[in-house]
Amino acid sequence: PARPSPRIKKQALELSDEAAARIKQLLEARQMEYLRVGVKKRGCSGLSYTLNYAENKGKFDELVDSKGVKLLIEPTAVMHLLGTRMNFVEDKLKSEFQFENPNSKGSCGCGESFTT
Amino acid sequence: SPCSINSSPQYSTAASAALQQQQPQPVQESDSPSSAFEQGGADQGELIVEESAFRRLQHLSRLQGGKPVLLRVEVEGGGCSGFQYKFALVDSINPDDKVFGTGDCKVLCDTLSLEFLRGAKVEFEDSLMRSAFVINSNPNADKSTSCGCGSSFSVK
Repeated sequence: PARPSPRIKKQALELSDEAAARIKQLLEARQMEYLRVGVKKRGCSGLSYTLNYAENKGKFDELVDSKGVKLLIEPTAVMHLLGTRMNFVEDKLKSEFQFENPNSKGSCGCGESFTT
Repeated sequence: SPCSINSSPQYSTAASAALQQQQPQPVQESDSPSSAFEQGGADQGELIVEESAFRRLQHLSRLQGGKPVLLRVEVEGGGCSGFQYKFALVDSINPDDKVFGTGDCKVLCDTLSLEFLRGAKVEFEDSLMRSAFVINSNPNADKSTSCGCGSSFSVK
């Protein structure tokens, strides 16, 4: 039996366990199917990440189905996000999603804004 | 100390309510200079602690079994726009701290940082991407040159 090629199985975006758990919690609370990740021009380094709930998968959205949660990547954001690891960190003062993006050539100290 | 200006009774804990009862009640129809001064201070722009921030501090206090929670807000050099806000949970109040809020949950700001924060709002922002203490609508920050992330700013 031929195993599926790992290249095909590789997801466009990798989720940490913490990120997956948080997304699952968010989606269940809102009764939503997907969380959609995008980028927009904003911030001191050019681009920043966006997150939104989504009910349906857009035609050209990239689907990431990992660790029991479904994530969509906006078509315009795929090139910027390929190979990114999405993490969720939490302490008493803040909790937030963080993106470890290999495409990022520079980023703002705040971690929210980046350039590719 | 009677320096709370923004705290409404909604988020004073049972402990703080008890504490307030111990304090001498102000005479109702008094227009004493001290209370007028407090009002004026608020108008001239102290640090404004929004309810969302107090709620979060109370939540943290509950998580610690009701221990008092002190949130220090500081401004330090750094960040992409020259200055940045810093938040920390601390154990003690310094002599040069201005204290905001009554009861178990207080926000502290040293006098130097306060110069950059007069009239600004401390909030606990809860969004999809992040939940965090933030400084909003800081009248001392130049919006056009400050960073979009909100954690760093430049002074007007």
